[in-house]
Amino acid sequence: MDTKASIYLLSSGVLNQEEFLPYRHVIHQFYDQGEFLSFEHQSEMLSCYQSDSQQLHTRRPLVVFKPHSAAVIAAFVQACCQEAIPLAIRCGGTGLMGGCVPPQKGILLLTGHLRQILHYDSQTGQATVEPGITPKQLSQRGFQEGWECPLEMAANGVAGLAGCLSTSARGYHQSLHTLNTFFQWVDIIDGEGNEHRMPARFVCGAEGMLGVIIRLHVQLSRIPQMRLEGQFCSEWDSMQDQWDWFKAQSSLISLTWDGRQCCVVLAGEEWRVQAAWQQWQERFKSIKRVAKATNLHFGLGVLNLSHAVPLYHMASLLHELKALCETLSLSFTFVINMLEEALHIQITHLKQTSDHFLVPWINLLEKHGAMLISHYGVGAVLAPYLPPFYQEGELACLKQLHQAFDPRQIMLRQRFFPVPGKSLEKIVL
Amino acid sequence: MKKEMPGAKTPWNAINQLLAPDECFAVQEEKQSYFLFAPKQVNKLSALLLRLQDQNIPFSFSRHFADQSVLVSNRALQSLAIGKSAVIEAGGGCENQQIQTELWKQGYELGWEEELPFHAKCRLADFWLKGYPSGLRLRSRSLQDRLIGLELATSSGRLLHLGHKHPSAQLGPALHQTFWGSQAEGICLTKLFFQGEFRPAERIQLSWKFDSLDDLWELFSLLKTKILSWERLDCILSGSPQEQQFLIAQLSGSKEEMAAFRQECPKIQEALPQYQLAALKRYLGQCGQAFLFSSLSKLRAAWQTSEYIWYHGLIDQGWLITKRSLSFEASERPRLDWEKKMAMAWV
Repeated sequence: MDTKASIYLLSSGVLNQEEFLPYRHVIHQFYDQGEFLSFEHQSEMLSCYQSDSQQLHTRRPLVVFKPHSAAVIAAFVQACCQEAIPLAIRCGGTGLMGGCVPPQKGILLLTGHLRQILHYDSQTGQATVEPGITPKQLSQRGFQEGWECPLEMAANGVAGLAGCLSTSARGYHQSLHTLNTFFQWVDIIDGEGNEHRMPARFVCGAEGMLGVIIRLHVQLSRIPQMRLEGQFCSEWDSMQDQWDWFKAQSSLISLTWDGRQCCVVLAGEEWRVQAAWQQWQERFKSIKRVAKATNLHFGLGVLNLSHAVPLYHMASLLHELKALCETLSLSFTFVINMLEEALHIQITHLKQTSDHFLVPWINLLEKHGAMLISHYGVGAVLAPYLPPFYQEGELACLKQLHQAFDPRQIMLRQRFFPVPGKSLEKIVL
Repeated sequence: MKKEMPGAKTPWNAINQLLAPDECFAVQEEKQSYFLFAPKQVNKLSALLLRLQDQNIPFSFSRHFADQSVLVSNRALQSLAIGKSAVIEAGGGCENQQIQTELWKQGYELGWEEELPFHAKCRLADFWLKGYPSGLRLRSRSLQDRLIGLELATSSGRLLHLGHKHPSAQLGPALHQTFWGSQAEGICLTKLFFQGEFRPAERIQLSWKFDSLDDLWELFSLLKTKILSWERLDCILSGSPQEQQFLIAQLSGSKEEMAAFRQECPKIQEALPQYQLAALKRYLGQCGQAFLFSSLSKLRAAWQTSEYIWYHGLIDQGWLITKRSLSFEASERPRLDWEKKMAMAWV
């Protein structure tokens, strides 16, 4: 096990024979319905599943199960529930928050390989898909009829839709509304192995708390008649002064600023976008049309964080971020989503534990009335830092909800729920 | 006929001491009488609920109760504030007209459209729990999409805040989204937070009338495929072939965009001089009760002569307006398992 990055996690070790007995029962029961990896079966492959796209939190799984089909999952969950075996779910494995880092004990259930389009209506753009299907696959499927998957992410070709929904993942320039209109319904298997069909918005951000997603019903978006991307240079004060005008622009779907450059995306009917573009050119003389307007470039090996920040606090918070990073000899890049009032940052050169940055950073967020948001989920990275942003009542409701869907709490064990209060102190082993 | 008398003296001293005369009513209806408590502040509501619990006084938040002699209402919670970033904080007792007036004064809009006149006096919290869909979509977003947080009181007096006041703030599952249409009985929504929109520079509202359904559907299909940013695209259909059919539509944008739209919109010259939405609602309000159907095909299957359909083209749902009393299955459905599990979170 790689210990240098796993600062919070206990070494999993190997269970003794008696402790492993329930796992053997499940493996024996489902050996012909999927593939198993464990220290007894292809153990060298286990490290493939020890983390997602972040490297701060890793843990080698004890057992991995890759079902042959989604039809197996209900019975499998039921069996795990009966044996009280914890379950974690991994879809595409492209998350940035350690959402699918395996539990200390338990089985990692894979769903990212389930990529069938079960039903597709070319007239309405509605589709029923399996959890591992990617935005790119769906867009390719609907392209001929003028449909596309609206999610725009760096991992479009790899990220599974179930994982995107579970972690409320979308492009940094996109809003939650994108998810709400795209994902309609989901079929989930709860912690007792029962299947439910429910509105997708209840599962958005739940990170597996309510169950395993086995099917998604989605609504593709019409490919806009025209999409136009532009860039121009601007200072923050000027951007803030024109915020009302920005918000009134109906064809504006993205507006981001990285401290120097502003990226604009207009989309919609051709007549609307052309009329809007003329207004932008009149207002911002330096604006130029580009093929792809991008501020932030996704990178591995960095700490990616997203925040909701009131616009009038943005400048002062950035100033404090700069000072903090200078103190800790860190580098950072950032982008502000103006329409969403969201701040996305990437911290690089993080040689020490992320605590050294995150603890003072959380304090600064509180001071400025800002908060962490799960733009890519909560996961192992953010879970310890949630307490300042959760009220106890809300936490109690979450726990009751979890209890209702997963009475034996085989899912999300010891990961999602922060300790109430400002418990940023941790025991590091 | 219903009579409400303020300043009622209840059999419970603790309640009498807590509530002001204009918060405590004795209600006399044709077949029943009961007490109505409508505190004006949320903390008083919480205290009331605690006292009701302590004294084992059965009560309900909803008028559809059987034996309870006490109804607790959020109708007096009518605070309304519009903050920066167009975040609207509205008390659960706010009425549509109140919200629209204030938003209009400050240059915002929300897209809360009251449906046919049957729900004209529905307060915000009740409207939310009923979850009636609307055909209005400002910037492609429904009212449900605009909710970013809410506050509620449970029957034990616990006050909860779910979601946040910031438009992009979401951490974990969006619990505040679980109440739309839930008809939850054990909770009282005290405040809702929405992300509003700036009122556009110009809005175009169009109405067409047709003698034949075929002509209506032809234009409807053309409008739906050619223009993708409608805020409304509704059809009002009559089951009687002698009556006319109506198509109403709405969209908005900058003045330049709307000038461009006028060049692009099919058959815009044939639109009626006056927007017909209000008149049609008034007329249909006299024609019977409205029942919600989930698709046009189901509406058409149930449709009879002398009945009307109000079809929301943007969401493929609509209302059948009829003098018939339709069965339970037509307009309601039993709670599903997952809904029962969701409700357990608030117990």
